[in-house]
Amino acid sequence: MTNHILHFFRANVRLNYRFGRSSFHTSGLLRNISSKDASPSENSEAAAKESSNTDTSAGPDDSNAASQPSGASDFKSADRASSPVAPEIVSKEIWDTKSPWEEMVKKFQQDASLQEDYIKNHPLSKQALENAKGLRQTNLHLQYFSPFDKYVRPLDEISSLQNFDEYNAFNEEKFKNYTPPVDALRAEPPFSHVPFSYGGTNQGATMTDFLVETTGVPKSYLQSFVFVPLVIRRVVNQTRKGKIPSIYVLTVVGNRNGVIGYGEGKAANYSLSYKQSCARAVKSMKCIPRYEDRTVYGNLHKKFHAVRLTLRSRPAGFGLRCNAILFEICRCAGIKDLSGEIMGSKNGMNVVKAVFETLHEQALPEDIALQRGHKIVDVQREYYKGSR
Amino acid sequence: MQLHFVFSHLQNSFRAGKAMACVPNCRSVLELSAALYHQGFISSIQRGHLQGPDLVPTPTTRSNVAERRLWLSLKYYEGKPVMQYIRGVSKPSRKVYMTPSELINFSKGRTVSFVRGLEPAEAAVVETKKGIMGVEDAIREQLGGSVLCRMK
Repeated sequence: MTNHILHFFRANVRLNYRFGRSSFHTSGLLRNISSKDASPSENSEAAAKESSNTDTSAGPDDSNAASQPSGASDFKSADRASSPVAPEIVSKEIWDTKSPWEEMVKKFQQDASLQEDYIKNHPLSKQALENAKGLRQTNLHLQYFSPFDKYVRPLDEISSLQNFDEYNAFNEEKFKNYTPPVDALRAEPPFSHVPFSYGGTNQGATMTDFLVETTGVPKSYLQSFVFVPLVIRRVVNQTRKGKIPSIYVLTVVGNRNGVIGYGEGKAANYSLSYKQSCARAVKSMKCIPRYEDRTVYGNLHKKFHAVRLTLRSRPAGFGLRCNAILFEICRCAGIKDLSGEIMGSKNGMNVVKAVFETLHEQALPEDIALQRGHKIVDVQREYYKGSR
Repeated sequence: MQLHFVFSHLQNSFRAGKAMACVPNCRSVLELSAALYHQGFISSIQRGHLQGPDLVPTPTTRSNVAERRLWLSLKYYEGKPVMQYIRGVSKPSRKVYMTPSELINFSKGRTVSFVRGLEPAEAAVVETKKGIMGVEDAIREQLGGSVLCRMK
């Protein structure tokens, strides 16, 4: 039953399309039915016309449209002459005439091409193309608001918020005038040195001063790092005196150019634990290898406690398509293209630790070639002059 | 199957840090060992008996065939084994055969007949009508066959 209806529907659509009907689909169906029932007089006239036409042109093959010379007179006759189930063979003249629908489609396509040309040649889009670095599918660059942005603050009120553009990672202009001290061990501390004290009311000391004291990293470097607190939890220690709560913070630090570290801090309030974790993170910073400074070397699989981690290297312009925590770590590290999954446990602390272990345990192709005694060639670099 | 025993024994020997692995002496194992040697996972193949490789070359006869073994010397780099794992792909319960074009796709990393493609730095060994060889050699000679194992 349904097959018969579909066949009828399809045949009607085809006929409407061919013979210049602007109506389509259901309206065409209804019109056909109504025309069949409502107008017997027209049928007779058209039948007379058709018979006359067929008499003049050809003999017995009058069901075929090849016998019908003109298109206009045959609109009505063809509808009724052909059965609804059997498809009709149409002559070239009738086939080539464009229906209003086709004309509409053509006009739309022309307008679309005009729009595309307008957009392409507009100065703003040309500017966007020039500014775009690396491969991108679109010229649209939406800012990504991550769930961790509310916790990310500048180190001091004086220093401005960092610009999280991955392609502007390391600003060399900042460090042009930096000269390291001659004797690093006996270097004098910077002027107006105010020692940091945990308990005292020290208004002069800031976060950066605290970090310079505890880690020994110069202030300009610290201000270029990105500190992201990824895990913040309220933990409780049950003693015989009662429940002692504390805040646990895990921050990840990165210079957005291949050096990352993580640190954990636990204290009675958030600010102290955050400071602690930042200091420990800076102390634990290490370099990680990156292929073409944008992605990981090969496919990595790791099981850390209950976290099953999979990282896959991807081509330039792919972006970071992975878990939120993984995304933040890669942004700090300067990894721009990555695909990965976390199966099993997604506990934040364990995920961070698993990711750090995998990134440090990457096997470089040069080492693998050395082990197995093969010659290695980077095709991307030799033939296509890769992104380096 | 003798080959599946070889896969697990090799993996265990690498993880235990052994200098040599003792495997059965037969044609398929010898051809597999040759493929592994050419791919760089083992450093030498020696004929021997149960206790160790032969100090003096001895022929295999009917009287001593039961004690004949092959001894493969294993490779290590920076304290870690060169072969992290060796896994069988084609099993007696489910054989995996691939045509030359399928082998090309498999070596590129695409999944073929529900078998995950080779990852970067992963190798595979194929049994063709011209013998057991690595995937690259089979593709070069335009041969297909059953994929025996994959290793890294």
